[in-house]
Amino acid sequence: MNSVAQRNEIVNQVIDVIVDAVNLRHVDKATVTGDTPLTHGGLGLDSIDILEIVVAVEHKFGKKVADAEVGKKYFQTIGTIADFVLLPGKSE
Amino acid sequence: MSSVYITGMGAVSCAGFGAARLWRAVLADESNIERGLGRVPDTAEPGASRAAFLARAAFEEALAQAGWRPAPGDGLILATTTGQIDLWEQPLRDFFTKQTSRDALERALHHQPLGSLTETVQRELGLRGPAMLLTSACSASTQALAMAALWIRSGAVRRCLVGGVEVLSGLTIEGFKSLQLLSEATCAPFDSARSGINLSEGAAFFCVEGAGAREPLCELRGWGFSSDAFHVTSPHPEGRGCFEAMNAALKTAGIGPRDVSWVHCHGTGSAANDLSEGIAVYHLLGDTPASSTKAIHGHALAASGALEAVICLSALRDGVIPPTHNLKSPDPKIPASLIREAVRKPLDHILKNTLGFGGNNAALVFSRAGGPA
Amino acid sequence: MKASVVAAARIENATEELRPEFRRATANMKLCASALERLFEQAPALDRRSCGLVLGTSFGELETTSDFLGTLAAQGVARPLLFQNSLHNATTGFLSLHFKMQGPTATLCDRAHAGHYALTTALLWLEAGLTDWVIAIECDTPVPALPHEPLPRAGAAAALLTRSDDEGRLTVELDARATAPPDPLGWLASAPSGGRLKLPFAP
Repeated sequence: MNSVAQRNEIVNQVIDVIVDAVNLRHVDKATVTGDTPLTHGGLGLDSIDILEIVVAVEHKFGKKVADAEVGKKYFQTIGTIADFVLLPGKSE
Repeated sequence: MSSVYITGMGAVSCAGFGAARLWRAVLADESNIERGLGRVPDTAEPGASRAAFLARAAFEEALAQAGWRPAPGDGLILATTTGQIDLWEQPLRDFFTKQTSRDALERALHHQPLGSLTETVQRELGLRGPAMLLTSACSASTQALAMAALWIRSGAVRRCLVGGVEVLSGLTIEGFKSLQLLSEATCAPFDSARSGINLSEGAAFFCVEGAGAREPLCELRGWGFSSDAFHVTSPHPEGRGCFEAMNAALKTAGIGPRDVSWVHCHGTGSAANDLSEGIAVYHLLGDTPASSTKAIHGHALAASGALEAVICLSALRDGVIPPTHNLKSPDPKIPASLIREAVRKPLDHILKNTLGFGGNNAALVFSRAGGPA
Repeated sequence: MKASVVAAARIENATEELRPEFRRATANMKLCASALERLFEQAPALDRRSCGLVLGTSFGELETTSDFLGTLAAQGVARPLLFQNSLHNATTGFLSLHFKMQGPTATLCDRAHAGHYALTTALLWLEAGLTDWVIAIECDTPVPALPHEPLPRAGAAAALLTRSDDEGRLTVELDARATAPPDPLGWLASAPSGGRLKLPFAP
């Protein structure tokens, strides 16, 4: 699988994880892309949702968010979460 | 309206057993937080309820001070968020990892309803009168004292025992950790570098009665409740709800902002709480001295209002405003007049403020009995 | 102390409707929200902003607490959303947020008489002038997966009260000699117009 296809696959998995973690069953998944922000102008989620998503992503992909700075940097859009997942190593 | 008085108090906290131990730790700037948590040093008998053990230590002290022999018609109002969780949390966790039987879990879960703590205390003291338990998060014991005043004023009871009880549990420790609200270092309320709260455990009880009270510790004179309707766990950023509760407490007390000698703040050391509360305190009370004592005894959730009421009543008795401990570099965004060194002066009215998850705010006014109107 | 009951409702089952604003709501929250919607339909002119709210519950958010501890035990994962919802007062927090209610709010627990105390607390708040309007509500949800004693009552029952004598279709009054029905809020929800409920302060 090339890197674009691999990232797209991770983006789709991240969407599934988020829909499940913060119960977005009412959202049409077809409208969500890698560029969709988690908060304003996107999924409209709040800080507690993001914490829940961090926990769910960590559990699903077996990769730890090392600190709040890393969380802030990567938990912006679906795509940046996919970037986090694709980083080498178990913790970032 | 008839007056309501507090005639006895008792406390157990991470500073040890007794109201005097807690007050001494506050005056000596002796923090009892270890690795970010405040544990009560002694333990209950194995298998016995730790929550009931802490409650018993505190109510026995309060009853002795007030000279009360509990009568069947006395009222009881408790406050807790997790009650006797020490009796059922581990069996429930074991149930999910198939390490305990359904029968054992059923016996343990009998203690899950918070009302089971009320039943335990009623049974121990032979109380058969009105008994209620409030669980409005960290404002619960502040509300409990206010409700006791309403019970007495309405004539529902002549006397009421009021207490807040909280034990440390996996639920609260792991839960607050998951919200990234815990500090592993001793908390630093209102400091620029504050990094979170220190969970703690403890219990504090009060004997509350109406007219005819002998040698009261204070008059319980004002109360106010409000809701933020802003966010599930974060307070309103400018302290809207918190302002309303404190303002209502001054109104019921029949006093103005300038009459308040000291505000004992909730001041948990969390970024959002301290900013919100500090703004509300300033807007309502201007440069009235304000402080938080959480760096000494931690945050005992539903019991925090009661434990800190013990500190308020001690301050009123001794004429000392304790400082905000561990405040090295006050947050310039917080305009309240924060006290960093103890101030000795006669105190007339103390405002005790609390905020809670769910946007639950509650405030009380404790006044010197027989003091100025 | 006497008050008028302007609206009352009983809800047996939480809505299954997929409403975005309920995506994080527990069963108790959905039950109570449905009950409050019924009250507000009966009292459209109510100023919700200053209305008080007292919730009585036996088991509180047992289901969410159990979900939190179960996930922690089985997977080692502490889920923040479950924790914030596990506090028993999360229900009133959700309601005050959802309906923009900023009046006095309290949550109380009692094994068998939570509804009774919610009602007497509401009456005292009116008497003391803490608020002019107050909702007393009781709510519990069974958790079939757990072996626990039977619930006193599953579902939610609520009543909207005010001090004024002539506004309501029912009245409720404290009377030390009265014998209260076991489920006073449920009684109000099913009482015909003109009904009068007398109850002692303690059950």
